[in-house]
Amino acid sequence: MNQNPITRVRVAIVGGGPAGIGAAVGLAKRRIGPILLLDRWDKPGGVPAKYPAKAGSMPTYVAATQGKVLFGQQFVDGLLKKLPPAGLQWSLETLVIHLDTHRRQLTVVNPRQGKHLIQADAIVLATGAREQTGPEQGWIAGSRNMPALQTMQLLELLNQGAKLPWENGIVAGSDLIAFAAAAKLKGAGTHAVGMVDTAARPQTSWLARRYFRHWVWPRWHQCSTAQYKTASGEKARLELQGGTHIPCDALVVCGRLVPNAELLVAAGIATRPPSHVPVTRSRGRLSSTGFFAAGNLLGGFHGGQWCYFNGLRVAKRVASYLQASVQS
Amino acid sequence: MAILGAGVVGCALAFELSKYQLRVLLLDKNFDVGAGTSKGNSAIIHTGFDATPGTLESQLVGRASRMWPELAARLKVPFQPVGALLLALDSEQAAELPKLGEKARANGVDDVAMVSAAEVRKLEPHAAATARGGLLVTRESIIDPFSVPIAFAELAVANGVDLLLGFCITDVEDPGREVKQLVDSQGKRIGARIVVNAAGLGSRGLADRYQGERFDINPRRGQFLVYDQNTLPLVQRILLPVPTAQTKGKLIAPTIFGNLLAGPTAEDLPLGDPEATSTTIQGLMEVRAAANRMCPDLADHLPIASYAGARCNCSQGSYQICLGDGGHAGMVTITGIRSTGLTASPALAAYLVEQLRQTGWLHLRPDPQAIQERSENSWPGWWRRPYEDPQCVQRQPHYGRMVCFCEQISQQEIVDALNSPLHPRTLDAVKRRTRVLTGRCQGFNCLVRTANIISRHADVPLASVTKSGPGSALLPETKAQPTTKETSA
Repeated sequence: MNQNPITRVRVAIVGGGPAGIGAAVGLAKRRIGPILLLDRWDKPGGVPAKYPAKAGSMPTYVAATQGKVLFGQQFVDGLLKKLPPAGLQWSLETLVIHLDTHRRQLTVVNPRQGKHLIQADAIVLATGAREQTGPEQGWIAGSRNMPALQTMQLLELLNQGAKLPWENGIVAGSDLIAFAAAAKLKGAGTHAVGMVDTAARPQTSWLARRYFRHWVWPRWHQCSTAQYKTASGEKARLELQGGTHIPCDALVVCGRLVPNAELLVAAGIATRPPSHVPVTRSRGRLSSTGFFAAGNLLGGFHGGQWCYFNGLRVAKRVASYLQASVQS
Repeated sequence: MAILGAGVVGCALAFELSKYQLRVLLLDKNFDVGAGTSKGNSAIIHTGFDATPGTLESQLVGRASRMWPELAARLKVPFQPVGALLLALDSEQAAELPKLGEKARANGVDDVAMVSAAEVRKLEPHAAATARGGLLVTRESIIDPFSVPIAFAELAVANGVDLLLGFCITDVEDPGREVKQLVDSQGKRIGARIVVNAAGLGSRGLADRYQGERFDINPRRGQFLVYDQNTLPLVQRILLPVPTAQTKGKLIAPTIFGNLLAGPTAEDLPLGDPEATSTTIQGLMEVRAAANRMCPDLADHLPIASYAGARCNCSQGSYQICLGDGGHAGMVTITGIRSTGLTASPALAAYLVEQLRQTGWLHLRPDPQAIQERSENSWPGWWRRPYEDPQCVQRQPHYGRMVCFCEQISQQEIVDALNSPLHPRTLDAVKRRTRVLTGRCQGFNCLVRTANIISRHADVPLASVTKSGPGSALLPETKAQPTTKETSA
């Protein structure tokens, strides 16, 4: 038998975004440790960390406690400062590939230790959410060579200094992320930015749209289905239901978050199909004992600040669970 | 000897010919092998139980289906004989089952069995409760369809076949002479004594240049949906509907990759239609509805991906093989290899070599040094999971540095794929070899990092990394050099 080395900790937190950091801060306040914070990316902070403070980009993270709007990276840096100096360890570039609900064990892979096991008294899952793919959304289809990007891809390209001088960039979706993406496209050199969604009106508050107006005011198209078409010698276009055509040489598919719940589903933790939002009892407690969920994994669409506070709240639950299990 | 088209048929033929002392050149306009019709299929090795008995297609598919278990092991291509179950959802369909059983036996597939409604429920607990019965075809199998042309081509190249990718032949000059001239889109010429036109949907255009046999082909589009790995327990084997007058077989199949696929549609489009590999909302909705009819529990799940493939449909009948086409000795046309090309390819290649031998155009002297088997360690392959070996990550930490979170593919596996014998350089080629970009997030997390790895490895700017070759750059086109390098061994 292949014996994998086991690391034992008090609490393992999967996901080092605002919710995971919140949970760690909350636990550290109650002097619970050691805590292991795992993240599959190479730097902490989750999604907000993908929005660096750069000249020409726009701050989109509301830090309610400071009454300020910040760049994602600044916001994350603020949260990281709240983490205690001791009793907490980060394990970055670490992918969790399996949850064992009986032994409360994580099977993880990273470049330093390879595949190994982590055992904890409590496990907080703060794996966040991702955007639905085009086929998942089911209203947009088209040619195989469609130049379609998802927001994460757009952000990563821009963070490497890529220029995107498209003529007509279309953002599919109309939530806050979509508006941020539209602003990013405009800032990266796209000439005209349009927005298309199945909703009757943009899914962002008037106030937020006013805020983004400083950078972008995308042309709005409503449709129930959209088909991307391209033919040699012709300009690529998006054919909306009803026969309207809008020119489109790049598409950014945005929003409609689905929780990153695949680990839970595979481990048999209760989730609600089709998007697999975890079933929780009393603030983040999952169907398997000792497992908790925090942040955007719980479903819905929340900003970094909400996720951080939610992490703090879940930490309280975890603390009382740990105390109860010591007593029993 | 030149083979035009490095699809699964062209690659299989190149491998078969590479066992003899011949100078063979394999050409394709795409920048990877198997990048046309061969990439969008249902990933099934058929038994040919529903073919028209007595046809060449039925013969070759039947023969090939018995070759595959051993061949897949030699090619190091994942293969699994999961079996198939034809579901009769109403009494009309149930009445068809015995006829289909007869047809299967006429096609030489004798391991079919009628199963009752109760047995269907036992075999496939998630199948529609209305099922009246079924027909079990045990030898229907699933395979990694992308690795098949790659394996054939890698072996062919190892045996001395020259492979030229990104080379679009537009004309055949002097077809009546002994040495024919192949002309590419830039006017470059290649001479060959024997020319095999296996260009799939491009075969008609080429055949026009040498006044080949009159055949009419058109793309028959097939749209598919892919479901996430968590749906795999819903289906044990390939579920097929009973073909009736209205519906023509949209199946649900487990894939070798551990997820499910549903489809295809069958839509005939005119030759040259740019929409031949586009998905449509309507087509995908039909596939979804058909899948939900056979397996109602699938309705709870959203598909994660969709794709469309174009089968090479020939109105004169499938499997058109014409030696000495247009009255020119040495011209060979293969076309109309509709949807069974993946299955039939090894038997078709052997059949073609036999036919060529009979023409007397070439001397077939076996090459004693020819290898028949892909080496175990040619490159990892998506199924090997190098992180399972602790020493592997210790020696090379990049095997533990995960790039694709959904399919758990590490950075070094991508580098290994880039270093594999055909030297792929496009995102699609890397995707077909490693499974990056194919998981539930469809590249949300890994697209840019994969592109970065290609960019670093091939020493080209990120803006020049393409999806499938020049004209499909990730970033807006700036006058960039083609990133994909032509490969020849």
